[in-house]
Order: sequence, then C-alpha cells, then structure tokens
Amino acid sequence: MQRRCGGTRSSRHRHHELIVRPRSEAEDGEQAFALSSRADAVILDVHLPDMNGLEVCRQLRESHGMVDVPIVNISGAYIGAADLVRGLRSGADAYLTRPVDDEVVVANLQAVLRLRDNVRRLSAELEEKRRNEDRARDLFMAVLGHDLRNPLDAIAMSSQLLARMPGSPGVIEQATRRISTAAARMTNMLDDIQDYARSRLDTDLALRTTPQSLGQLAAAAIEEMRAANPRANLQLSVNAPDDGFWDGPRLSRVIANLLRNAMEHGQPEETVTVRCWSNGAKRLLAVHNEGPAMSEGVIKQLFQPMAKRVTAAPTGSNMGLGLFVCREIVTAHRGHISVTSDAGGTEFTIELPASA
Amino acid sequence: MTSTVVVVDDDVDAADSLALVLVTCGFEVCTAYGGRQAVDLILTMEPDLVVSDLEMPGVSGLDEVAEVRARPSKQPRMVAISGAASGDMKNRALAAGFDAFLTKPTSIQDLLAALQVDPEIPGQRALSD
Repeated sequence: MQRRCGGTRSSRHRHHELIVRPRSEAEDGEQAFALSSRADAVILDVHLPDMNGLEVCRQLRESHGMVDVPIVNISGAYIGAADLVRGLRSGADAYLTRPVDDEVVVANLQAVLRLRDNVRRLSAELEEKRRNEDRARDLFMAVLGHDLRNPLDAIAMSSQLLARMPGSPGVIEQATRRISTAAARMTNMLDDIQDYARSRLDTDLALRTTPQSLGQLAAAAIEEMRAANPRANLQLSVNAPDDGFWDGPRLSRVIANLLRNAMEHGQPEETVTVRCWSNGAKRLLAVHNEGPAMSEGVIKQLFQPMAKRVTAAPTGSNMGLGLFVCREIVTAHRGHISVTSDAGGTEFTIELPASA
Repeated sequence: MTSTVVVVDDDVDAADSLALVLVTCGFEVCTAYGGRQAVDLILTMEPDLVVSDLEMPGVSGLDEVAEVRARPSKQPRMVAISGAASGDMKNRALAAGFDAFLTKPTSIQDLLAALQVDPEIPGQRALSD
C-alpha cells in the first residue's frame, strides 16, 4: 500500500485500483453519491454528519449503475451485533468495526470484488447463452418456413390436379377442397413464420408493392374465410377511395390474420365486420368482433411474438405469430396498427399511407 | 406438337407432383433431381421449357441457368420456383437468366401462366381454366 500527497490513499491490488477518499474529501453523504458513480467499490463510514450512513448505503444501492458495486461499511461508533445486521440489511456487502487493520479492509474489499466479478461474468455468460438460443430459434424458424414448402407444394399441386379431373365424384371433390384449404392455411402460417424469422434476423421484408385496393383484398380474404367456414357471419363495407401502392399478398395475410383472430375470439354466430375508409392520404381498414373486452394487460401482450396466451380461446391455427407479423408488415408499409376493446367488442385498425 | 419440359427439384415429392401436373396438361416431361443432372438433361434433350427449384445442393438453380444460358444450344423458357419468397431471391433468379419466378407452393394457374402456355394446344386447355 502506498500513500500519495493530497490526502488520497490509493492502493493497487491486481487489476483493481482502489481510491479511498478520507472524510475531508467525501465530506458527507451527498458527496459520496457523486464520487461513487465512477468507483469499483465503496467504503462507507457509518458515522457521517448530515445523513445516516445506512440511509446513504440504501440510496447508493438503489441509484443507477450501483446495483452490483460492492459497499463495505466501516464504523467505530456502531459496533454491536444489531448494528452489523442493520448495516448488511441496508445493502452493504461487508461490515467492519474499528479499530481495523488496513490489510483486513483490503482483504474484505478483494473478497467482495471477487464476488462481484463472478456475478458479472455469470450474467454475461447467461446473456450470451440467451442471445445464442434466441438466434438458434430464429434460424430454425427461417429454415422451417422454407423447407416445409416442398412437401406442401406437392400436396397443393396434387389436390389441385385431383379437383380439376373431369367427373370427380362428390366425395373426392369435397376431400380435395379440404386439402386445398388446409394447404392454403399452412402456406399462410409458413409465410408468417418466414416474416417472423426475417424481422428477428434483421433481414429486410422486401415489400413488393403494386397498385392494390383494400376493399378487394378484404373481399378476397372474406371469400376464403367463408370457403373454410361456411357458417361464418362476415360483413364488409367499403368507402372509396381505398386504393394504394402496397404488397398485396402480405396485406392479404394481415387481413386474413385479423379475420381469423376476430373469429377465434368471438362466438360462432356473432358478426365480424370489416370496414374500409380513407382519411386524406391515409387508407384505413378495421376488423371488429363482438367478443369479450380485453384487459389492459392482455392488450399490452397482443403484438408480442409467441406471447403466452392469456385468454381461453381455441388455439387452432394460431401459433401466436399472427398479430406480431401483422404489425411487422403494416410497419414495413410505414403504417400503424392499433386496437380498442370494450363491452361492445374488439376492433383492430390498420392505417396505411396510400403509397408505402 | 407437344411441348417438352424439364422439371428440376432435389425434393422428389415436389418434382414428381409438378411433373404429374404437367403430364396431365399434355406436356412431355423429364425430371431431374439435381442441378448437375438438370444441365446434362437440358443440353441433350433441348426442351421447350424448364421449371427449376433454386436451392439445391451442389449445382444450384442459379448455377444451372447460368450454364444453360452460356451454351450456344437452343434456349428454353426457364421458370424458377423457390421456397424463399423474398424479392431479393426473385431479382437474383431473373438476373441469372430465368424468365419468370414462382413461389412455393404455387397454383396450376400461376404455373401455366409463367410457362406462357398457349391455351389453344389440345390437352393444355383442360386444366388451365
């Protein structure tokens, strides 16, 4: 341990440099805050004039960036067992009583710093592991979204072929239609998975924009939904202008996801309404159902990918990606998606610039 | 005269179902399950049309089209079909020499449109409605 002029004692032990401010410099608790922000560890005298030392300790622990900085309390005045307990409970990592040897202070500091280093290393390792796992999952999703298309292509092609054979009897016709709608639904899911993986892996969604009509996209989505659920009660109203420059297949998927969502979270006989309208250069589309009101907590989680499902709806085709992907696609169009929910039902609204 | 098609896909199910559709439409179809085999087949058979997957081990669809386009032999119309539905993949396929790009799974309608099939040829009309 060496001594320096100017009243600052400093000692170098391995890679830690320890700056100890005597009371003339860290005069009181207030100053301790300013000084401790750049320290590796804090030694606190529990006998400061303007603020209770334990209170300083508590506040230091709560202040930004100080969560894992070791604090060693030293006191010549509060040296009873109850004082030690209070000191440690206030957030200190060690509590020493005077008189105390310098070597004991240094050894205690080294011990708490060692502990802090271990915690930091483990946290970093954990964070690294979590990032790797996230990336592995996202890559897996990307591969899944791609590779499942081959067998699906074979199914879709073969069912279309069967459906087009002249003179197919009724049963074959029904079966092929069922295979076709199932294949179409799977395609939708794979598209969602692929867009999810792209957004997670920071790959551009690469929109392919062409002239589109929101009303026509909605009508086609409703048509498909009716083919799969003949008893679905779906209404559409369109107020022109509803045209814009967008990625048609992706917007179709957004509307299909919102429709499916509205139907899964309402009763079968209830009406699902789709409205299209404009507001200046903005084009809007809303999907409304008469389902039960959602709580704030549920709404907050809605657009999170694979968020734990908090409502008791049939899961069916829902992988928990639908709304996340809807938001990604709408945002890629420089648009906005929002939701309102009350006793009258739940409504999702997408707002798109006419030219994305 | 019947049009000839080479279908290329390393996924046997995907290749065979596509071939079956084209046979039913009245085409004469040959199937290759890899890019290398496809190039050999295209150069010897000189088909009118090629429908080829892009991501294949070894010689990819992009390598295949580049090799075919570099030869002085008869040039078929070549349609790419891929599971990677990105705009980027489409641009790369067209830049490499493909004439059209389809995303898996595709429909018979889109397939025939990409092949620019003449609806007046008997056998090809039946399924193209």
